[in-house]
Amino acid sequence: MSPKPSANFDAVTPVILSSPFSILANNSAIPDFGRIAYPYRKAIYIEEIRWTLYATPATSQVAATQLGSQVLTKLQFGNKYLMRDPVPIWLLGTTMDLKQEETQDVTVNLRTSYSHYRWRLPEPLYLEAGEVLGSWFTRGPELATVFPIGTINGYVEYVGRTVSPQTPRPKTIPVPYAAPFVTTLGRVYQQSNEEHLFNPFGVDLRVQRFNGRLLQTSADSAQTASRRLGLTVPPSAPTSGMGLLMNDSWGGKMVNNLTGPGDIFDCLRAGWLVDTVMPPKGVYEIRAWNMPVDQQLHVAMVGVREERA
Amino acid sequence: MPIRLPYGPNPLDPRQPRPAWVDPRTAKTKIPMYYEPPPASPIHLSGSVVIASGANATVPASALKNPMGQDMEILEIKFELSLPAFVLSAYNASFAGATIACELTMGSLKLTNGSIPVFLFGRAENLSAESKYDRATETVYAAFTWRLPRPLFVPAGAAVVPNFTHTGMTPDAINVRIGYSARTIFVKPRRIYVPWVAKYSSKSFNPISAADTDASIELDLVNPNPETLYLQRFVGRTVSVNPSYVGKTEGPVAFSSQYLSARITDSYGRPIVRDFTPFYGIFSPLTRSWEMDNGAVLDPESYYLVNLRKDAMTMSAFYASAYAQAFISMVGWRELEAS
Repeated sequence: MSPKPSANFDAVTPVILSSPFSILANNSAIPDFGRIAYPYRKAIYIEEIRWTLYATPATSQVAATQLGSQVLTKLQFGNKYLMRDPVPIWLLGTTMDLKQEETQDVTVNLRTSYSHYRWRLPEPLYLEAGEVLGSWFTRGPELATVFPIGTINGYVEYVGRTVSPQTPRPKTIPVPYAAPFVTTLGRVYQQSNEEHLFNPFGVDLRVQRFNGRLLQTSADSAQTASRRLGLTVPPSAPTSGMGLLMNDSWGGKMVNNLTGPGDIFDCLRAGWLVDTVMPPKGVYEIRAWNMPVDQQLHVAMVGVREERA
Repeated sequence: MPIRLPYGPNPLDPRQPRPAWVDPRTAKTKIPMYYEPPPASPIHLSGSVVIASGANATVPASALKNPMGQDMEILEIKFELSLPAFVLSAYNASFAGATIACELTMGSLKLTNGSIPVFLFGRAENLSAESKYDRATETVYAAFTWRLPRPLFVPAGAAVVPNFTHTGMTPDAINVRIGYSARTIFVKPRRIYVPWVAKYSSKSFNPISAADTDASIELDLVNPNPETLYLQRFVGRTVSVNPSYVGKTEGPVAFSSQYLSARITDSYGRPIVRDFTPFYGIFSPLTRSWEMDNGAVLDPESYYLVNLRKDAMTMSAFYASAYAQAFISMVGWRELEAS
């Protein structure tokens, strides 16, 4: 079949832009910007960002691992950033199927782990013609000794659609924003500060949800590093008595009694849908009590604010 | 006063402005709502057939017609496959979704571009439900569902007729049940929305051979209709088969996440997936799909072209006789004037 001349050549088409990257522990990586730029002079909407991560640890004692807990990312276009500080990839979207976040393929190699994550943006992100959403990845040294994974390879994929030229250029655009709070291993009590879950902008931030995960770093009976999404306070907790308190900038209670992360961040989706508005310069504070030495709490606030195009 | 429904536009059509609803508990005169005919009534129709390997079969159309002789709208189509003997292990029953393909027609209207493997219609909403094993009866089950992008109007007396094909990927007969979740309606719509599904199945790759490639042709992911196709989603799935072992699996991880990649262009060369991207990067493994019910369209009489690239893969010799295959479908809808 030979196509007829398109009746609407400027019609909206779906698009995926992707680039590979590799990252060592205590290092950073930047994907190929040429591959994640839309090649034609057309504006696009990015609706979803996906990450495919895989690694072959040096030792077979590291089982299927949530690689998204190890790799942090930061996204920026022009002078507008989606994260001020790098955020662990597994904190950006809710989980839809934990199995897909920690898989191994025994047909290939008993040690290769695969993790898939996706972040459905709170609002589609408008990129002007020629504009590129830059990605940057980093891995800290802290977890590298606990998880001897070596190089993590991956792909970042932007999923979206083109914008018809007939569509007027918006005057303001919603820009997603994510802010993390990750505890330090080995400390019994920790508290977030005003540079963690905060709104750095001069405009309201519509907070879509909090995402929370718990990383367990100790070896279990099978000598594999396991990860737990969330544990509740005693007596139901198998190994942890961790409890969280949360309040806002004015001391307003968000979590009034010590509550386990598995209750706050729904164990099924690793998220807490809040859909609220945070005023400019607002802060949410988390206090984590009774932290086991082998568990690390990861929390992110995901929202969206309006920026002038 | 009985509560009157504003006949004219279909009051159930989500595109029509909804009339103000009066809560009967607050009405001054309490009159039961059943004094007026209900605007719609749910109905579920289903039929089943056992299909031998390599055979074709259909479900009697009489089982899939509205028995009340009324118009109806189909909202969802469900497929349930079962193998009454323990021939597939519990964790890979969803493989059967590649084995049974279905062609759907309603009168002269085709809903599919030939036979489509039943796991390519909808997004995977619950992967664990796609592969169930009943130990008591030693039966494996695979369930798939397809929520139609828009309700499909089926006139009184008509039926959406499925024609199933067993592609022979397993020698076992498979019991297929198809179900329509629908509603009887009493007001004819002015426009009808006809779903359209087209698919591309790759050749069988030998996973441990050297690098390999494959490409779809213009007749695979095509919109042959004179109307614009509004896209709902792409579905992408992979299967692997190891004849020397009960190793029929859906979604082999390494193959789909690392070694198989794809790029997609449309009829005019516009990039849909610009660079070779891992298969599971395009079709999220969480749902096996790329949802795009976002205004994206495919022009009339145009198509997408998929290029697949399989990199050389290191596997144990145990899997030397295995092969793997990729499937991609395009699901959307077109709009027709009701005659």
